[in-house]
Amino acid sequence: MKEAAKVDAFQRALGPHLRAAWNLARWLVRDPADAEDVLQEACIRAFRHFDGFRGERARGWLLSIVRNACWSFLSRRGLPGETFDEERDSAAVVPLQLSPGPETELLRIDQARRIREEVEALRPEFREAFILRELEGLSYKEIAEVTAVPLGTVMSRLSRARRELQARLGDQGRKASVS
Amino acid sequence: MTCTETLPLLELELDGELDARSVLEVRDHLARCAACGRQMASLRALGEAARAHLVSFELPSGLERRLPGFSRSRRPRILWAAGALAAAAAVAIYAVPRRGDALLDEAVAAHARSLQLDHAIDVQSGDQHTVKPWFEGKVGFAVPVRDYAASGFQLAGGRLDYLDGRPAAALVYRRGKHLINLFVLDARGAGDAPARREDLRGFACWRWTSAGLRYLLVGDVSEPEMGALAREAAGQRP
Repeated sequence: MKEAAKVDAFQRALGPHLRAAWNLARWLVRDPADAEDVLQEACIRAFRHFDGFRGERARGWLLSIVRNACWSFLSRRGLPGETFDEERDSAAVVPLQLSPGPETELLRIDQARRIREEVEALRPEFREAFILRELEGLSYKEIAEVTAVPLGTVMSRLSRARRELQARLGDQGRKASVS
Repeated sequence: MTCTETLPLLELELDGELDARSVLEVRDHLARCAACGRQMASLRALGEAARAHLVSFELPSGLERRLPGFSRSRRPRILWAAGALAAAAAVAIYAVPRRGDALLDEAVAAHARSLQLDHAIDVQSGDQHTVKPWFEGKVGFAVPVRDYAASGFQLAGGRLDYLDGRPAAALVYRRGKHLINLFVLDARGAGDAPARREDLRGFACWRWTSAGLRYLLVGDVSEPEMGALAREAAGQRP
């Protein structure tokens, strides 16, 4: 493939999925600077192997490369206890959905913080499955492809993630959505 | 359907992964069983809360331009992103004997990169009047672009590269199957210096300074052709 044509095709195929790639990297490696390094590494890999890419399921293809880059980063770093910087993360993020009404604002912020902390506390493989399913809306099959595990493993990881979250959040999850 | 049979299927129903027949059976059970109904409601609430309260990180502005393959100029940053490692490794392995050779080292690394990654050219043209204006606003100086086809070196195009931590113009020439890079960067006040040969790691390298610009010619073309090109480009008598 000629260079310019390759760059063109690369950007057309994967550009629409960069946000999802970034979101996954941020949720998996946490630190924005680390996430950027990981995403750069992933893009180098993606570009290098783009000739072998046949144009189908671009999102899954990119996400699987990003996720592998995340995991090799995490294993290089030896998976230490992850830290969560509330201020930094609050400043950098855009809530998916804001329910209006000042009277529920404090409650809402507290619930958002609790849910986020609990998802943070999940083991990375559970967190990964949960994020891909709930935030990115991937099907079981797509998650299986991205994370390179059998369908049954996806189901059990999702199930474990949900059970842990239910247990830790207690009734909070329900209140949060009903409020 | 019993509770034991239903419970494992609740999540699948929630995620839309259940086949049509099982969906009916699960819903039928949920209509009759309060305990399973509560579990389903809890699962559904968890998903809704996650989507409502978990953040989806937006791509920071400017990040896309820093990503290999996505730079706005259509030039994959893979060149120097991947190359930064190579350059760092090169600097680490090859101790720099003299001041100034770090630049040569970088130029050789950049040249090697342009060969390996097949990303030698941003603007592909044998026309100097196309290549020259392409660099405008990219390197901070006017890039003299000449064709040396008469001497057997065909202008193939240009590329934006980075040497010494700043943008440099890389003019790409072809001679048969060989690719030659002529790097041009601001001399930062250095006076004119005639072309001299300093081979590095098997590459033929020539460098000179002229009219406020520093030139580094790197390729794997043997002498005397490289020297002839260097002297011609440097405006010296052959």
